Amino acid sequence: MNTVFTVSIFIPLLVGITFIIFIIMAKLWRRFTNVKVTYWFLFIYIGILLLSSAIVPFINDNSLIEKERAQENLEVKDLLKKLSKTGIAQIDQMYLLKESSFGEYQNQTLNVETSGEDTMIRVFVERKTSDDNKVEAFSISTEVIDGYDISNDLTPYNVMLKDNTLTIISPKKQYINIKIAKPPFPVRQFTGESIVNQSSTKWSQVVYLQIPYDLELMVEDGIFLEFIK
Amino acid sequence: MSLTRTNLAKTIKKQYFFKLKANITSFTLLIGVQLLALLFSLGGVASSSFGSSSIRLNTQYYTADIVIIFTLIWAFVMAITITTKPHRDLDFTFVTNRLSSSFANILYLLTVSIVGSMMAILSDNLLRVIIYTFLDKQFYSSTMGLQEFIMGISITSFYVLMVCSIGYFVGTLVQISSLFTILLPALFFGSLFLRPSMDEKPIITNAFEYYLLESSLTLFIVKIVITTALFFTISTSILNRMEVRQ
Repeated sequence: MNTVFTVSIFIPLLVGITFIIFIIMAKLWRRFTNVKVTYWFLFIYIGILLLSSAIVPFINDNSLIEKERAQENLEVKDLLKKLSKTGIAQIDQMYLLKESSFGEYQNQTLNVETSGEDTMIRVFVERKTSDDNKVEAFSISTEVIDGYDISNDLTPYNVMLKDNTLTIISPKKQYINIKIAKPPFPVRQFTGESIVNQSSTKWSQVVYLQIPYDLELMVEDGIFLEFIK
Repeated sequence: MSLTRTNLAKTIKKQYFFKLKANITSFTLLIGVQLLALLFSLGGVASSSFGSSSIRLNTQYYTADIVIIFTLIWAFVMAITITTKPHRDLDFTFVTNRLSSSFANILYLLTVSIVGSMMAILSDNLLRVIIYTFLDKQFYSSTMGLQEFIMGISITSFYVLMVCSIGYFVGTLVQISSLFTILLPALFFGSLFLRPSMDEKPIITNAFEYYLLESSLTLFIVKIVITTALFFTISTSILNRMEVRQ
């Protein structure tokens, strides 16, 4: 029996059983309630509902880590595409997790290595037009869940430069649990929003390097370089 | 012979307000049902998991879907209840006929649908406040806009009213013959297992999907209005033919 079929039987079956329970409840309920009690219940319950509705906009704006929908509601793949086409200048600041700058780099070559949990790291490289002898590295979050940017929950890659080796240190495996509230199904039915809409790639973070225009990069296995045109 | 002159509209109005007062306790049950649904909703209605070498992401989704489903079942029970003999006998405290009684019932169910739907949609906010206050402050949520809010109440009202019309029809059939008390549940549960082939969905699931998967608002309203009108018309016609105090 496949899952879809099990669900398609299970849900109506559950509805049927709930209906029978409610029939019994409806009969018993009358014995314990009266008009006066009902008015009080209604008054209190509607009061609580209205109060919650008044509270929700405030907690959303301040403490709930307001839905930071990506600018133009970018999907992850679109963000990477945009990064690849236009470079970091056109990317919203909220995606930048960490910035490191290493000045006075005089060598002609730079080795790029990885260290830590991540065995595969995607690195975007932008060659500067002017030679300022600086190597700049940015950790960029690409984790967008259901349109929400969860950069605040991610530990960024740490980039270190020692001698002529740039090491990208990935953090320990992170376990993130998040809760997302969705509108009820009568609204979702017409807005086209699905209940589970995870937009992720295998890259939860990428590294963006800005290097002098004539610097040659030597990378180890597991680093995927992509040069900005 | 009564010397009081009355007309259909006045009688319906009187009966409608009487029914609202007489059945007000049903709202206590609605509150109980919605609170129970909120309790079930605290565990989340869906979840997803995603993992790579550096990250394990578990997402739990919260909505007021269970509250709405429970409200629908409550409305179905209420619609059946008002067709039972004790409720019908109450109508005869007025100068009345079956037609005015049915119209008053439909108006009562319409009111119940709107009130129930408003409470169900508003409970979505209560759920968010409970999760934020007691469960997790790392909670991603957006406020339902006015347009979404009105849309939510209207569409839920349509659903609840349609379910009421089906409940009213079921209640009417049971009044004709108590045999339907066994036959209808048997048909419902039996239809879950009756299907043309093993790979196909049960008929009842297809019936749900006919409304739930409709993405055009106009078509949805047309489907609901036609179904609701059909069930109410058939029920009213059946009740109209019944003997007084049968």
